Amino acid sequence: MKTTPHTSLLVFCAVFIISGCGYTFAPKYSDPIYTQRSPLISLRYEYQDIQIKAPVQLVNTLPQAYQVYIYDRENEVDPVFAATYMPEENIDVFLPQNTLSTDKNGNLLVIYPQGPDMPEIKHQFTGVRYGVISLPVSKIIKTPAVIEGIVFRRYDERMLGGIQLVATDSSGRSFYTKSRIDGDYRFELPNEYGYRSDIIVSAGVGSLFPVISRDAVFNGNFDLDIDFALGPSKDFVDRGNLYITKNNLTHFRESSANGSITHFLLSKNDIIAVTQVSGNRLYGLVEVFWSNDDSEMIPGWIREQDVVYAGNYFMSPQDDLELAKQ
Amino acid sequence: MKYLLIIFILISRLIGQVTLDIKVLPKGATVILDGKEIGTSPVKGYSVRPGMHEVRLEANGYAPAVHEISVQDAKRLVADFILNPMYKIKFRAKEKGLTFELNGEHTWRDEKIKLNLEAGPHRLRVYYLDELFDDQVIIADRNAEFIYTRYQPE
Repeated sequence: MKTTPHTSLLVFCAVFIISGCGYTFAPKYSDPIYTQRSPLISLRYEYQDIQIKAPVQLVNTLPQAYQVYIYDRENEVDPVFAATYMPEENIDVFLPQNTLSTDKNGNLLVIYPQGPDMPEIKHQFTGVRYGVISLPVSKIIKTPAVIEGIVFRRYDERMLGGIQLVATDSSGRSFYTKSRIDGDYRFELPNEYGYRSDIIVSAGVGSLFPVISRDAVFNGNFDLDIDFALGPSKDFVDRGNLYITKNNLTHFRESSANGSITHFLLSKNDIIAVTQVSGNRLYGLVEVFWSNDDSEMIPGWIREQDVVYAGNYFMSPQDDLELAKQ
Repeated sequence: MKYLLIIFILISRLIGQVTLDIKVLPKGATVILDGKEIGTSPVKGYSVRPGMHEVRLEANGYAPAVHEISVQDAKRLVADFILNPMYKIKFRAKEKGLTFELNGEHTWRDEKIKLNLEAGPHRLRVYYLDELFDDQVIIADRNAEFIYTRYQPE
């Protein structure tokens, strides 16, 4: 459409009148006027999860289930998390963001395997705000039958390190360990031994000390404490010069004559406190222990060729490990 | 050693930061966070520490908005704002000799005046010879002409 100046003037006038020509010269208020109303606002938070992977390895056992708890270590009464997992499930725990302590080792995960003789497993760990935490593999092992105690020299109660100990059952199956430098030793036998009473523990095998054996009777008790006092008593050492037998089945006789009555046969490394010498016959005492504290000294004769002089082996101040060596 | 220290400081500053997205209607509003202009809306992926922060939004034709946000420890916070528009109101009184007061702080005596009002209710008080003559609420919801007539209760 073609417009003429005349037409444009008419349109301008019409708009001017319609839009309120009276306001053309009206003043404008200096400031905008607000309601002081807050803007409409919405806040949306996005959180992430914490995933805790706690793998387990079953060692000759199968629990019925696992009870899993997670605690803040500052409150080990109220768990942050508690759940039951079946053995075929992976122990994966999902928690909301920021639910764990981020202090060093500030959290505790406890796995209780459901079944007889399976101890709980605990892991301390440091939390994260969000992300994945992978804990070490937990080995589920039935409670072992434990025999522990100390090995010491009876003469002066000095702790003996490096002493060989053997636990043997009635079928001849043996388990071995050695005492540590502080005299402590520990056997961890398979769980089923905790219900048996046919185990014999021997200490001093392979050393200069006569071997001492004790019965380990568990009968459902999984933790036995057996101490071993090795060597002669101080009283016995003071009775004479000490000799040790060279071989097993050595005759300890009532008199010096050949063919006299044999009190009993001595074992290799048994100790004789010799008080008299008659030719190639030695007279002395043998100390027999009925228990660690109860002993008896029995006199008798032995051939010189069956023993060697022990010197100060059983009261020397030498290093324990050296003492234990053959 | 120096670089390790710098890396450690950078990592420790990053840990615990929350990603902040700010969306505003209308688009293109200026976003000022804690007194620092951080861009025009929408703002995406700005990192802040958990705690109190002040957001100020400014856009032509809209009332500026200031809002305190308590940022919680989270992965991301998306904040949506809708600003209030401003309307041009032509105000005209049919009676003479009146004094007008809007929201308790803006006054004029003109019979005709152009106002720039934020959308929403405003309290209009009218005085005649310094005595309260009328008190009513007017609502700005579009560009319009407002002709004042005394409120007549039924």
